[in-house]
Amino acid sequence: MNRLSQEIFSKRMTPSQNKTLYELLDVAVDASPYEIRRAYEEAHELYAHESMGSYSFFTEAERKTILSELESAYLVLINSRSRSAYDQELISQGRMDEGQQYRDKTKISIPLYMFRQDHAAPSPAIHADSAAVEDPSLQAMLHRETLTGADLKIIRGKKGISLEHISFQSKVKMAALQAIEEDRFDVLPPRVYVKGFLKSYAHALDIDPDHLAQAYLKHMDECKGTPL
Amino acid sequence: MSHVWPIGGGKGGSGKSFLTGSLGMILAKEGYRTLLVDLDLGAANLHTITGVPHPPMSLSDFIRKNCESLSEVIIETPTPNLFLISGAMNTLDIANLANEQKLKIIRHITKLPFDYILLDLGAGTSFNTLDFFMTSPSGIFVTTPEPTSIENIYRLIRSVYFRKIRQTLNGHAFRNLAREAEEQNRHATVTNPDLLLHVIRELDPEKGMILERALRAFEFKLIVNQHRKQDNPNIGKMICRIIEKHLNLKMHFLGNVGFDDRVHNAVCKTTPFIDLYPYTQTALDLRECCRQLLLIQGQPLESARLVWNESS
Repeated sequence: MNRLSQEIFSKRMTPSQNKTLYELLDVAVDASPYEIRRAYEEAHELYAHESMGSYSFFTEAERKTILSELESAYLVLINSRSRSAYDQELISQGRMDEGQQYRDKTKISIPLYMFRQDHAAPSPAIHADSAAVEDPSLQAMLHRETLTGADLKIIRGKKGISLEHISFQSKVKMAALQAIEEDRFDVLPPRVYVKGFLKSYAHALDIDPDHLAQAYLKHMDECKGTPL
Repeated sequence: MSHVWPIGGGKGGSGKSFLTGSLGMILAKEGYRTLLVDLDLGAANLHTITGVPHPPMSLSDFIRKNCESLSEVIIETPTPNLFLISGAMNTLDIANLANEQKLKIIRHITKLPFDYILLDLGAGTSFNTLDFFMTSPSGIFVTTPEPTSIENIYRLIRSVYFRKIRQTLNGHAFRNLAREAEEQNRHATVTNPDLLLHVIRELDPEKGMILERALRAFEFKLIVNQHRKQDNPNIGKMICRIIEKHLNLKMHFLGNVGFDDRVHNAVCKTTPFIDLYPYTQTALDLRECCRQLLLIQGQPLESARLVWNESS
């Protein structure tokens, strides 16, 4: 009986006995790093040397013990790697249920327009069938002075790239691309925009943008110049 | 069954009598039959705060057996519904109240037919103060946001804790235990009654259970009085957290009561502060504390009036 109490006193009863680090900091087991930081700040304010809230309640030695325990608990829990190791330890001791661990549920924002990636991304045509590039009829078509919308469609068909893909990559509306391929000049925007669209189109197909734009615009001018 | 709220705080001058008088007045004006008992034996002045400068009777009349029952020494105050057992005409040796007289007073107080009974206790941690404080489990602690006052709060609460352990165990067992604890650690009985409880729990789990239940029955409250603008408003919450965490006692924080120079004016005029300055921040704070107090009892303070009609 005497030995037992001696044991208790020699340990200098501190609040940390048999407490998990979570209980020590007064946070839930699935507390976020933000909550842990807040809890530590509050606890530190409470037990700090000059704190009025705990004035005279603890001896200086007790206060130092508590503060160092809080600090080490905080350092373990604030680091995600040491925290998950500690969680595993608790689970193996049966003091924490599996699945209770904190999971970062922060949503990562997705940019609406990925311009930078667009420029860097290689044209899908590069990965396309290389046989198509060497197709003589395609080469002949590309060297023509004028190109109609139907020609563009054929080239695109040979390259095996869908209109949706071009639209997605170039951010040009489907309607505009369709109008180009169908020679519906009346619905197309002013010439300078069409030129831009054509260059994006050519880029997506991995063919010379300047030539394609020039050839198609020539065709457009011819059509507009001749009254129907 | 009346609710008994002892109001204590260790340090003198922290505003125990002022708070007792003011809370009593708010309760009385809300329509509760309220009794104030001045148990600051030897230094009584609750009568002055409540506006009864010359009370005709006092607690001594009961102790000296001039009266059969405690209800005979109850006097009315100018506030309707508010009654007082004064200590003004007490004999000079009343501070050294004998144990059986003290027990008799406690026994009679708890039987009085009132809605709320507030006990104004003296400073210090004498056995009389502790026992009066433990008349009811819902004692109210008053402190100011100063280290001196906080130090005394902790001392008072530890003394209460210690005395509760002593009361629950019989004298012999306690002495043995305390001696043993003292042998191991000479601070154990002075500053760490929680250590004592731990030893008891280890040695005799059954007694430890009883003791723990007795201690968990306490529902202390805390009011931080004389709170100035520059003071940390969270001190009260911090004290409650320390008590709950390290002594495992329940403690509710009722609120801060702002410091006001005009309290001095009201005391000098022997007029209740609430009546003289009903629109001050301090009066609102007092009301908020009272509201919290009733809320814990499960009786919300419904009307939101600041001033009360004379007729009510």
